[in-house]
Amino acid sequence: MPRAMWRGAIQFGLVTVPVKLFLATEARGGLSFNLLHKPDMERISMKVHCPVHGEIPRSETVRGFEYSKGQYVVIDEGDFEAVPLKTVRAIEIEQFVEASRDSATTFVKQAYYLEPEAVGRKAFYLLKEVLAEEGLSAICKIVLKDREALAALNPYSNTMLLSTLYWPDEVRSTAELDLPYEDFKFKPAEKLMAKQLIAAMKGEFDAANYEDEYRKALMAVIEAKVDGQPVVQPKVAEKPTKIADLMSVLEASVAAARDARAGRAASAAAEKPKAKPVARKAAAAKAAQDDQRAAAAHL
Amino acid sequence: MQPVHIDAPFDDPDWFFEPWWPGTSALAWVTDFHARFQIEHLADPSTAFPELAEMGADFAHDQLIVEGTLLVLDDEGRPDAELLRRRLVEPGTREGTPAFVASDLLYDLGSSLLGLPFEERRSRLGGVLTDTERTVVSRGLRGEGLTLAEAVASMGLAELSARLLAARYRPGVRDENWLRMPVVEAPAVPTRPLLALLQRLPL
Repeated sequence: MPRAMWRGAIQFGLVTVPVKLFLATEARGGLSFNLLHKPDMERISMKVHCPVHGEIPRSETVRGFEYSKGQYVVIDEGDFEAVPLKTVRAIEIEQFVEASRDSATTFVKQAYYLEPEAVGRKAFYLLKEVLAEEGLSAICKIVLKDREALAALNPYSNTMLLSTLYWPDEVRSTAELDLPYEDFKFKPAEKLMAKQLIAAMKGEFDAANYEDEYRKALMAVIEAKVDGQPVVQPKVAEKPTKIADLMSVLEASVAAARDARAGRAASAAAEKPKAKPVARKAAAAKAAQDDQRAAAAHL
Repeated sequence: MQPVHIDAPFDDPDWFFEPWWPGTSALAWVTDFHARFQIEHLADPSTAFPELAEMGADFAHDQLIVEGTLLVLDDEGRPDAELLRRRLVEPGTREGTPAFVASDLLYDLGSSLLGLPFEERRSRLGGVLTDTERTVVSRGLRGEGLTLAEAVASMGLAELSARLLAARYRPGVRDENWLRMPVVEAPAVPTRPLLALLQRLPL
């Protein structure tokens, strides 16, 4: 059973639904490594260091807020508890909005699964069902890890998903990018072709079809080392095939074709009866012309 | 400009012959030494050819429009129409090696060359593009359509292109100064030249 990382209640109007939050995702993007001391392979420890007293125990540390350069005020647990926010133990729903893809709800920080307490199950599933039927998201506020967060609450599978969002001032504007969208007018034929291409690639998204191949390959390297096996070196990519090589083939083919044609012409000439002087003169003139063309011809 | 189809190759010193590469005809715009492509129906296939995005750096000049053919080569260096089709239909596909074969230079340094004869446009093309692993100027023969047809047939290619050396470029229209024709079947040879040549090449 995973451990709940927050307990509180969804609140909207007079309704209160007690729930617990669980992290919906875990960071597995990269494998973590430990720093070791190379000569003895001992693990490096990170000591808490005070410039005045040297190494100190972590229990002697407090949290300070630097309100001006070098000036701190200490904030302790009592101060955090005393923060006058309604959302300290509540998921306070501010409004319901259309579940749009082109909105601030795009910028998600972290997703949490909700689990209703026994007493609030019916209200929880009623809210989930209505949100799903109406295609709505609940925009709410919650205090997590000493910070108030903006969040969106959405039906998900057999529960609801709370996604904490970036505040508007944390989302960068697109105004500084070079995006001349209005400059483009699309012909119906262009749109139709794009639609056909998209339709050809359309499918149901199933995340299970994708995997982190770099992580998998790195794990194979690690496991090989653990087993004492030599690490299999990645296969060196074959030298890329070059278009210039194709042109070399063409040049060689032209040379071969010229030779073959010259050979056939010589055979044909040998088989012919002796030509009259006039005809020979004409043939010589044609041969001279051919020579000139061959000289002029270039690849 | 579109070619007119004819039945067979021919010899004529006023014409320049080159293989009809089995790819898709494309215009390449080179701006700030970055290339953007346009193929049939004004489609932009750039996402299918990310390897060619920096192709613009292969040119000595900027502000160019180059006509040519986009190809995808298979593992043995041969143009593969099926690999090309897959790239265009599924832009995520990365099979094969894409390449661009340049045939004509329409704009240079932002100035139109459309009024110049093909012979001069092609000469200028050779001056602004040096062959790289992904971009080349197409090879061909002046006047010798029959010889080139034989060479092209031995490579397993099916068609030739012929352009009148004195012709101006006429955008958009089908122009009888640009011809497309099937190669005549080459006489049988004891070995397969393409394979034999490929085996000798340091691929």
